Amino acid sequence: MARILGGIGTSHAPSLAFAQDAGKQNDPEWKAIFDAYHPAQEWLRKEAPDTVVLIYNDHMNTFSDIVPTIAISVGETNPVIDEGWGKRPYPDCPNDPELAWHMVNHLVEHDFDITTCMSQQVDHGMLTPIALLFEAPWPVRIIGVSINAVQHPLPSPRRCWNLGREIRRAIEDYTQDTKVVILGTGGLSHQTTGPGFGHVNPDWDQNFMTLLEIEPETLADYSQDEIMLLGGTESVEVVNWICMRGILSDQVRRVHRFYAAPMLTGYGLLVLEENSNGER
Amino acid sequence: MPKPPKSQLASGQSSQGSYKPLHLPPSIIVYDGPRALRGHRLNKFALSIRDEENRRQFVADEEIFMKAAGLTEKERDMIRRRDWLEIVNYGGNMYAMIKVARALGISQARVGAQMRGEDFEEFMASRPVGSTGIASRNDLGAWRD
Repeated sequence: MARILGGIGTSHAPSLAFAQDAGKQNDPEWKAIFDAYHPAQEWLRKEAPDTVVLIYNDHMNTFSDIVPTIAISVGETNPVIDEGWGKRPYPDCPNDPELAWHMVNHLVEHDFDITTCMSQQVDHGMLTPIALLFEAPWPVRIIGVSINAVQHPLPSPRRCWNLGREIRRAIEDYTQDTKVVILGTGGLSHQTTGPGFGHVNPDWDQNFMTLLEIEPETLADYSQDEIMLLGGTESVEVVNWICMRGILSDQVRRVHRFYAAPMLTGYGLLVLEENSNGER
Repeated sequence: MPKPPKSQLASGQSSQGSYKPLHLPPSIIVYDGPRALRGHRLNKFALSIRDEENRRQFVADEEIFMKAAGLTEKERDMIRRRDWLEIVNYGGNMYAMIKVARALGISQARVGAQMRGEDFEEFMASRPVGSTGIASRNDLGAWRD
């Protein structure tokens, strides 16, 4: 039977990728942030998942003319692309089409209208966290679940939470002996558009991470408008974290938590381990 | 975003039904249907320079590239003037437009400072952002009826 080992919430900001590719891991302004990923890497090495279900949002790189509200990668491979500033030196991400199709079948049967995507291109929403958490060649298969966080109308936090609950049931229903880790990527507070550019809200970000851990369903009651006011227009992608948390159970143990907001984005990192797996 | 006056709804607002609707301030520019429709040409043009050869051609001769991309004179003029605030109000999406800015060697922080109407140095002096005192939906009273 498939087993959910835990979940990780992490920012996917391109600034992290630029710093990583420029080898700034030990620069004073970056060291604490990159060091913060070590406990998460260690936990992943110990848990050794087979597949990562990565809840993220595309940024007009796969979806622009056609914008699905929820899309799942179902092909053999998710190709790494040039987002406009040069392709990062990383291999394409292998998918887990068998589990992906199982999820799609289950979700559609339970009234979630899923767009299937044979070639879901890997933009920073997927690659920033993957490159921070794993070393290439990727030791895991990666199923991308893309939630529209770009073109309004956006799905509500409640909808994303419910999507998470249903993905959990799909994975629990999967008969292969697959170990699964969930990633929710994006945020936390940031605004890249308009006169409110640079909006960062550490108070809300810290509260968000606390609520996500101990009282997650209260976040499902927030509206996207409330999230925009609290965290900035582009922070609506925190629904990816809410969906991730919806996939986990009530019984999680916090392994690691980190937060910093040095410039334009609240960098959050939260590692939650499942304690509900019986004979582990 | 300016700090709002102290919330009048600090407590006793635990269920969704008791929250009044929000008034979004002008600092929140929502990329919605009308903007996506109007900005379609601009965004398509911006996304096309993900291709390295397109990027090279655009930087080599912006005018020729923008005309070939079918941008209107008004749209070309906004790019010419690097008026990022007008561009996003019109319907350019920043996820697409940042590709244009970066191709032109303009950093995101500089694009942002300009949209805020600040000098770059002035903007950088505002970093890092400290405590806002606004930690949850209970603190959004200033934007409700």
